[in-house]
Amino acid sequence: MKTESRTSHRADRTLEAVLSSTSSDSHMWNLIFVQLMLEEHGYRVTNLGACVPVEVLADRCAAQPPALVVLSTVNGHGHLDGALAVSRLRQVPSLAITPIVIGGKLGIQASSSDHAQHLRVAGFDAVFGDTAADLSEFSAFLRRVAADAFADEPLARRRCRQDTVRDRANL
Amino acid sequence: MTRAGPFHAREVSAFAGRIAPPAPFGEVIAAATARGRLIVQPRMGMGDPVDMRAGLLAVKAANASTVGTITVDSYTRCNDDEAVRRAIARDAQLNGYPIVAHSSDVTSAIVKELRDASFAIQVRHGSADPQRIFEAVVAAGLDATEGGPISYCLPYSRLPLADSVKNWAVCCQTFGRLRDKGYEPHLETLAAVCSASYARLVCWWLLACLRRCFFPSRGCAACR
Repeated sequence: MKTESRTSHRADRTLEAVLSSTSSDSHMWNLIFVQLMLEEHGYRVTNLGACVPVEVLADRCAAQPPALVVLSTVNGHGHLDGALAVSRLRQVPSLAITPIVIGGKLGIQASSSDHAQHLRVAGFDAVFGDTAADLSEFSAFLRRVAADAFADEPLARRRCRQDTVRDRANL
Repeated sequence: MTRAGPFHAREVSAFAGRIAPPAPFGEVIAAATARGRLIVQPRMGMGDPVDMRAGLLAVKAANASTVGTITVDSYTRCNDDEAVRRAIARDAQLNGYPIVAHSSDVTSAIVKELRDASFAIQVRHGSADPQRIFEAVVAAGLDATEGGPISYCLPYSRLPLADSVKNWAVCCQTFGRLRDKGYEPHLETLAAVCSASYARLVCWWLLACLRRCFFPSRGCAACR
């Protein structure tokens, strides 16, 4: 079920985002939505599809490190599956500072700040729920990642990353 | 909802009253249809048997013609026993009822208490490799489930379709063992999910026809 965006003559200037569901989530409509959204923001998307084993995701991202990894999940197991996935991804040296985010319906009840904090501690740079406000935040995040990637001085991203690591250490 | 953990039959059998006679799923549907009643089936599954029982009880008590559902959690669907164990150990909330992890005594106690001639209970799971789910379904005396080797593979699994077909053929034999217990196994052919997920209407009809061929040839009735 893997799909990829059509490449263009500007492919060398487009950022690749790897989009994936979690290992237990079979939903695809959310992946299609997020793929379209990423493409609207200028990303070239590799969509790994539903029920992606952690090792499949890790192998793909290690073989061709993308500019961004997005996990989208709506089956309510995201707070469990997402933490496992990002822990594995962060073990890959080339993904140590790659922006990795997760969003969707992360638990079986209304969005929980506990789930979000748990997922950030596990290694995600950002965690998004399923509200319209979350989509706006995700959109702003995508613009920031793109702006930072094309900036002459990527120090801001490194500084941001260091802050995140420090925040995790303080939690 | 937070009471996930090891359960024993006595915890739920305390609720169990009379032993209900078998109520074939198809007969319940046919009887309600004959009375001109709209049948409502809230799809739901809870990790905790006590919550699962309470949910089914609420559905049965609703002022409507209802069918109960036990939806299996996503880890059980994927045969990921370790994830089920981890979730239960962490008191985490599963998105369905882990029918393989819970003892069949626990599940059958719920079924015996709630199922009767007017209230059927169906298991929904979404697995392309459901042998252990079918074993648990049969052990609990549940007579109704749904799905099929195509519709529970293409949207739900990364298994090759041929493997799913082989798995489901074995499951039909397992499900057929229910007749030894006096139940008529009932498999609802699930094609709607395919049309909703990715297929055109013609595919819906094609899948329904394929299932009409597949299940009866392997000893299981198939109804929409």
